[in-house]
Amino acid sequence: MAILEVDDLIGGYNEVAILNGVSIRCESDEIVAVIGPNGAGKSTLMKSVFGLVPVTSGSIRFDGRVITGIRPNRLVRLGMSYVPQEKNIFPSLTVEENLQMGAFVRTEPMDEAMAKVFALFPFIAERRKDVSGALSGGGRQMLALGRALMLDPKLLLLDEPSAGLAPLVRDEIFEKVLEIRDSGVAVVIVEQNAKKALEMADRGYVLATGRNQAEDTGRSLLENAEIGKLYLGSN
Amino acid sequence: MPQLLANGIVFGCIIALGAIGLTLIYGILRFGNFAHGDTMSLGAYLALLFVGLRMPFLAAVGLAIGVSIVVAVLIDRYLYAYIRRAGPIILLIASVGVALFLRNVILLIWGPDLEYYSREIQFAVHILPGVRLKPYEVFIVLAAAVLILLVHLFLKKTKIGKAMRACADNLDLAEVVGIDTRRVVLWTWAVGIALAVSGGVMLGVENGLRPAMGWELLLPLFAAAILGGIGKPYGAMAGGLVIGIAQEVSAGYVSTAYKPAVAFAIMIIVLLVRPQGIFGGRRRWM
Repeated sequence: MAILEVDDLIGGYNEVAILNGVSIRCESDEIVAVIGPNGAGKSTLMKSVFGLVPVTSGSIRFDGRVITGIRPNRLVRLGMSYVPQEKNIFPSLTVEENLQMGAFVRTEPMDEAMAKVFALFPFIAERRKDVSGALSGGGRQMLALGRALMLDPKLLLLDEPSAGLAPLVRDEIFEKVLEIRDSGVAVVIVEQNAKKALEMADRGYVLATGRNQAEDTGRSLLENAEIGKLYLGSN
Repeated sequence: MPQLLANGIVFGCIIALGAIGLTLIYGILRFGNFAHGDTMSLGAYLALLFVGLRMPFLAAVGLAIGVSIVVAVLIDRYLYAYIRRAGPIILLIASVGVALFLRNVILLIWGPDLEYYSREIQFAVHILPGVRLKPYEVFIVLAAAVLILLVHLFLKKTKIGKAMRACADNLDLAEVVGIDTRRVVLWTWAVGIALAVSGGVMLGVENGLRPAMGWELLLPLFAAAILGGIGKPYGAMAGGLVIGIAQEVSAGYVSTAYKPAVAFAIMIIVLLVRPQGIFGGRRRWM
């Protein structure tokens, strides 16, 4: 069953439409990559799904219910988590406190959720008492991912998790995203690094000027000569 | 010199209590609250009212804190909330209006004359060689230390305290993560005003009560908050002590009329040399 269905979405900031009719779908056990050139509306798509950008028309369904226009703090309770592209940790809080903030809406103890995050990210577990602002770029990204998992979400929205990371660290992050999917969390990932994202993804969408350009399995999009020429920088 | 230092610590504690609230409100609500000083006065006068009704002193202060928090939250809900999106300058100007309003309400009810909590005269006693303090001054320092310790525990150990620090770090991310930012705003007012009223009462105990007492304290409050790196409560604690001590020690060398100028000079030097504050570091809470 589709966990996320975005249908003909039109929206943007201050009446300037950035999305001109985007439709995507994500099943509950897959990674969906959204790629496309700069300004295609990838990040805006994520933000509008998460209720951060006004939607003019179209619908967003999450887990069978319409969520168009619902505020982030309710979406978090419904089981959707979003990791923004940058500034995605609280630098003055410790690693552990950052994770606790991820479970703010919960009143019951969060030891179990935290243990799960630490098991997935041993590096974070080692630094749990450290001020998170002192972490490296990769460490911050892992912490942001870990925090997004604190409420046991059904769907994770990732906005360019590999931005600004060294290749080795980037691969490690992608590795973790696969592990997250295998643990039963659907993932929608927006990536500048299109090849890497499509290699990892079950399915992919190509976006340009706020519209769907192509949709296929990750593998087929990679092998599609025209997509390769236009969006993946290959000859 | 040790005597001036001791006076400075007493005054510094009062400034620190006001500056913590000022800096928290700045960090989370994103505006310089010019009504903060006058809220200190309001609290001090409310305590005077309750003391006049023969309540025990600490109970009167507690009730004054409670009423002041209610007033501040109502002002937030029915004034600031409407213009929150209009930007920090509009909020700042609005808070100047609130400051004028509060001060004139005080003037209207209690009049312009100096008032005292008690007519009893206390004599200074030696507490250290060369240092004489009145018993209530020792109490001020101890009470301020306890309050600052409580704020520290609140910010570090409680969930809502941690959420306050998170909101001060990045309000947008706090929303995304699911933190109930409205509740955090309420707590920010509660903690900030509780400390401010405590400081206001201490100032009233030390110098008596005048309607302009808090307004005149605004400059040292801002100086302390900026010195500590605005938005950073631990910086404000330290900044308050530094400003308090600097003002009192300066009295040993230049006319006491220059005390506010000392705070002003420190503020300007900090803004010129280290605008992120002495304890600001790299945008981190010390």
